[in-house]
Amino acid sequence: MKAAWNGGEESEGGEGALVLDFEGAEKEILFLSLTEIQEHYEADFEQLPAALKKYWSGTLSASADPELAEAAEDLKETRLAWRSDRLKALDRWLASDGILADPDSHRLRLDSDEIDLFLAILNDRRLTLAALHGFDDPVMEVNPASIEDNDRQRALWEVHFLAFVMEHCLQGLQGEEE
Amino acid sequence: MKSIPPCRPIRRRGEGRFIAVLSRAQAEESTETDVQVESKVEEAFARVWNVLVWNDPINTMSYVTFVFQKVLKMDKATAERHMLEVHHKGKSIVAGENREKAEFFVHQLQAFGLQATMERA
Repeated sequence: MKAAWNGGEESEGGEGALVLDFEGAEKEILFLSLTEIQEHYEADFEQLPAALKKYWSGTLSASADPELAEAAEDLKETRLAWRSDRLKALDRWLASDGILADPDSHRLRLDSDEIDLFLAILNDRRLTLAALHGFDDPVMEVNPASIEDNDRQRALWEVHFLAFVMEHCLQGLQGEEE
Repeated sequence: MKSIPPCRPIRRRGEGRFIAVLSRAQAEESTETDVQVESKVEEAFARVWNVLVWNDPINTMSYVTFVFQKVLKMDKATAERHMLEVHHKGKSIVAGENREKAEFFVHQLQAFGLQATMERA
């Protein structure tokens, strides 16, 4: 996989774009991951497992300051609203004419105003998988192949794969800074 | 590059209060109460709140640095210093702001998936 920043003058719209070139099955795996998180965003919050309810409720203050009770509710509402905002973006990208749908293209082009959202969505998938499977520091250090449970093993591979995609995106974005 | 858009404006306390028709005495008393309330609200918002980011096993070091630069407008060296503090000490105070701004930063940092909270300085 390669990622490169395509500067303003050469890009459509003139604000630049991040261009990702995938190899082998990378794009298909990414497509499947995004389809999974799309389904997750669609799911009714009340039906989610406790770990994911906790994740999406968020925490405003570690000290449970009573002065922040109302603000904590605001945060929860905001976090839940992200699910619908991100679902709309995914519906657009994964639609038949969307940037991710063409099976023959190994290239993904993200306009400058889509990059933060793309990274946040990939990270949502990583964080929700980790919350669901209870991944902690020791688990993140082990070789996924050593995990016997198939679901956990697949989830850990996916968490690492998406980190690999995000790292490439961040390296590509360094071209924007230069 | 545009920043992430999903944060709604943060509601200020005291907004959307009911207006009723009052007698002069009631109005004077009410004005005094309003002034007291306003002053308490201003005082509460003027206090400094720390924004903390906590270590977690999932977010990568380079991503945390990127988010600090993006949300908190830190230069790369400062962002990396705070990221390493999170990594080695378990948390870092990344901002000290009035309550409204602190809430805004917590929302923005969490929008990117970081474990950010706020507490009184």
